[in-house]
Amino acid sequence: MTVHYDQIDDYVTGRLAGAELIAFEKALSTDAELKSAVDNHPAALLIIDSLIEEEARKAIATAAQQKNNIQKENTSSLSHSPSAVRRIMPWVAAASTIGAVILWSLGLYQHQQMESQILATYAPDIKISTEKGGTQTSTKDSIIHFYQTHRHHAAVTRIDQIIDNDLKMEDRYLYERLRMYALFYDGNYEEAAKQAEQITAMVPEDIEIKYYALLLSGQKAKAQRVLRDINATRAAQIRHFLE
Amino acid sequence: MPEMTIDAQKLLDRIRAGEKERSAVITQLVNDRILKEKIESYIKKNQGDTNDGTTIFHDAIVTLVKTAFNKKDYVISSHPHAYLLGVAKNLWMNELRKRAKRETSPIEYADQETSEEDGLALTMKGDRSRIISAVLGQIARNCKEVLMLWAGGYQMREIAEKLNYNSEGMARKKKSNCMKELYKYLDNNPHIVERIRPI
Repeated sequence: MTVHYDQIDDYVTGRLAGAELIAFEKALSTDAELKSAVDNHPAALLIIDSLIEEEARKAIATAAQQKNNIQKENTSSLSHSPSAVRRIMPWVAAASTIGAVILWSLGLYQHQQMESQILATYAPDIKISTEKGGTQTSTKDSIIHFYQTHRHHAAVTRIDQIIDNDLKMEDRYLYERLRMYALFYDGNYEEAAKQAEQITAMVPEDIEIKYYALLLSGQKAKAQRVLRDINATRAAQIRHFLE
Repeated sequence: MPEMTIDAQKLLDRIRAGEKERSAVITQLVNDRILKEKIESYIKKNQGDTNDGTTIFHDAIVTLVKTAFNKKDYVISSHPHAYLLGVAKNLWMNELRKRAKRETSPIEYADQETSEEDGLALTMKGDRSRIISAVLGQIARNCKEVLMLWAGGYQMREIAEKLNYNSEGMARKKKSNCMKELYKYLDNNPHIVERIRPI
């Protein structure tokens, strides 16, 4: 009867019996290699039992390292970015928080209202020259009005009139953001995608815009992942807000 | 990062599915900020610090992975967050007990010998972990997969299915060859066997 190395575990754990046991013990008395394998079996089992833990710990270390790297990159890019980008962060936070609370509690329709409210609250009124040579001081109000009355195309046109002016970056960001939503609600998805990508390049931290950038460029899986981030962020922000 | 949106059963299934899925689950859990905060907050309220919180957070994930992998029929009925928080609490209680023992033993002269033994055991344990880790580095990747599944109680038929072997016999042969390799390695390195002997 041939003795197999597969039988070692059965032998050590007492599951080998009858003719198989007799044959195994006979082989054990003459086969030095088999005897060594039997002697080393407990150590081998200990090592094998550690495989899953070792794999899990490696995966954790890798994931934690990646997380740290991303955090460092974010910190680094922010600290080395132009001062205008640093200034924009409170606006991003404000937009996200207000957006989160309204969007969470009231739904999509209010999302449109929310964007215009952010603009109304935080953006300055931009004076532009009219064709007749005068100035129009209520540009912001008109944009908000167009937007709230679902005249999104008109809102985009009016934003375009002012967006190339020498705006401060934080102000420009708010108008660019509203422009993206206006294009989106106007059904101009191609332009909305470009607009979202442009804002994402400017403010990568704005994950809501990033979601639209991915969604509109057909990257649905990535967009879904970002959406999950948004939901988690919103949940955390709302909890923080309620506390 | 997102709060966990998948249910507990899917989580267990993914851990059992293979290394790639397992790694993805682990990454998701490590990046689960809300879960991390829950566990760290509990540890901090119970005599621990942030480092303890992170260690226990990671240990809880390891425990989940090991349990899911080694117990094929294991079921989690609660939300994964609740489950992992429970695991973390148990781990932390054990850790606190160990620490209390280490802190009180040196003063009690009657227990001094025991304390020294504990210290030695801890050193040996750390040493053993490093040695085991080094040995694991010597095992080929495909061998690791076969041996892990075998150690996890999977039948050869299941191993063949999971690792896409043509037959159960092929999986058996692979496992046998991998075991031989391991025996051979240990035979050539008797000092390792001595160092990793169970304490």
